[in-house]
Amino acid sequence: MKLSNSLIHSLHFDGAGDRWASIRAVSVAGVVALMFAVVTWRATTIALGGTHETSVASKTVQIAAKRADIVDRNDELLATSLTIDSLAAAPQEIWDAREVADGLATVFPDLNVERLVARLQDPDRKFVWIRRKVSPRQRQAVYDLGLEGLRFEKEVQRIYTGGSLAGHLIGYTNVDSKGISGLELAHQERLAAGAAPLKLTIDTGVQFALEDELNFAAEAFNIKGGSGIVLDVKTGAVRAVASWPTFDPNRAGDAVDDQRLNRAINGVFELGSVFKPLTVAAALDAGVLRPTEKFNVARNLQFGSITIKDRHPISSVATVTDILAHSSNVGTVKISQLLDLRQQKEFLDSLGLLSRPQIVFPGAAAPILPPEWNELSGATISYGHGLAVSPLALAAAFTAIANDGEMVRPRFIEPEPEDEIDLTRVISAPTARVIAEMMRTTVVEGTGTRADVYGYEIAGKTGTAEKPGPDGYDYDRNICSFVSFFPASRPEYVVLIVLDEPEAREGEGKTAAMNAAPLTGRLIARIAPMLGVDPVLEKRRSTSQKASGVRTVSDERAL
Amino acid sequence: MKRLIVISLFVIALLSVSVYRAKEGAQESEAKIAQLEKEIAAEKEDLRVLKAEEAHLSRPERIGQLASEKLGMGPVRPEQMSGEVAFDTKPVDEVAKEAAQ
Repeated sequence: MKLSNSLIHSLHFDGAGDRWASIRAVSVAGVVALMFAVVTWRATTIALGGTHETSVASKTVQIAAKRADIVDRNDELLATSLTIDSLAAAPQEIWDAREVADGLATVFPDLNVERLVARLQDPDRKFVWIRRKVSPRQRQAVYDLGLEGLRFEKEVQRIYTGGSLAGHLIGYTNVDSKGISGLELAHQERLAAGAAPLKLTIDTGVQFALEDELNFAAEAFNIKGGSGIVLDVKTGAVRAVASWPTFDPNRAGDAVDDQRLNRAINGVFELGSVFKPLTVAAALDAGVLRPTEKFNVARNLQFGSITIKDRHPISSVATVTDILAHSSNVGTVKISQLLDLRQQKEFLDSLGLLSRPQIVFPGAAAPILPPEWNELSGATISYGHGLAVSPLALAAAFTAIANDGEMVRPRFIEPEPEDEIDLTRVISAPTARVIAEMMRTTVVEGTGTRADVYGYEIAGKTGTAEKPGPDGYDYDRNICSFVSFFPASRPEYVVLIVLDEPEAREGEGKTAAMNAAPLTGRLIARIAPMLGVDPVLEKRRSTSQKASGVRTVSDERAL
Repeated sequence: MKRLIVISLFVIALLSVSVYRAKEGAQESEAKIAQLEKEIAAEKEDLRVLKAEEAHLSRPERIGQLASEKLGMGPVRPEQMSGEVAFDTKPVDEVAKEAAQ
């Protein structure tokens, strides 16, 4: 204002003409002053406030917010998230949609050109995804095309560093990095929060050995499927869990349903004679059976039209140990008949075999129970037919035998020191020890001799179950399994191997004694040092000759 | 009066230039920080990629094969392992006394 006054005073007013001139001068001065004020105001606001564009730093932070890694018990990386490029387009910046689409088709041969042209010409679209997660080579090829309106957006890609290793357990995510299978799904919230790595109980070395042995079984016995579990009997930590055939979660979309099925946790099977130690344990614990008792098992048993017989009949009187060691169906049914059906059912229920396993894993399979629990079903269940359970549920049940009667709940996440271990007493300690001894005898001189490995005192039980078909059980199609724990004198780990329809190798039978048992022996010989189990260096027995005599995996493979 | 106006205008101009230069400097610093943060993020990303590569290259399947082919190594046999009983478990002072005799 002062400036305007000074300007006015500095002008001379002489007559009417001069008056108009002075008015014009004041008007011009006013407009110039106004413009100057506007420019000054804008310059001041920009200088003080700056622009409101998002800073690069905030964009960087956005990309860095990623899904947490998954590591094994030794912090070996199993799953991580990496930033990679995805190709997008801004349709409004594209003049010739056809040219862009045709150009991109040279880089992405499977691109639907007509569909892309339609999307790029759609006036309502401001953003179009063209291809999610492109490789560096494809990215360079797109750059080289020099097309208009294209840009690369950073996206997060989940990478499974071990490929198919533990693929069934870890699971996988969808294109938006959301868990849709396995532990990726079970712990979606925890992983999406991007906190510290999720530490699994899995030991990469043990897991690989298990998967390697299942691969070997696939070649040697031409199995249709297989599964295996290594379970710490003290903590419930699952050190390895595998299902064959495997799949690579990096390319989960390429896998067929049969590959994606997790047979160890999500499948149920009638596992056969591996149930026999449980039947004996139930009878011993109920006080209806003495360990020294003997049974005449020479004759078959008849239930209406159903005959229960032994694959390898014992032609004499058998002790309870003989019944387990030589896997007598007749003897086991006779033992189960000492129990009433309610006792049998309650016992199996206490082992968690009649309900869905209490584990944090999507789709953990519930057992298939018989339509009616009667005398016949009770008899067949005593030797593992008529009740289908998941391999994981059975392995968990055997932690009770291995752990002086206390059963532990399996877990896949490494416990913190302050975490309590979920132990439940289901069998008395003396009963558990008697069964453990009987299972050790089964390996030393029974059907499990091929599982015997010097130094690790393996206790186990074979199971060769006939598979149910439309016309009843099929003698030629078997589920062969071997449940074991080691070392028998101070058990640390339960190992279960299940093979679906193994075929006989030349000159051998196709029972579990010939496939699942030796496989378990080889596996334990490989994993025991990794698990820090000290060998029990007992004097070598002559029975070792009868066993596989395997000292290294390569020895056996060379046979 | 005129002198006051001229001085005021000069001061205002000086302040404006100062503010502008301060702002300019701040923007430069912000850009530098943003650039550094971007570089840190890129380095971290590279680190993640390297860790992933390391995990991929050290997977048991590959290491086992290399150890077997190049070094002739195999799984440990029970006879190769010894517990603490294999070591002399006598107390240290007793061992020292024996050595002195």
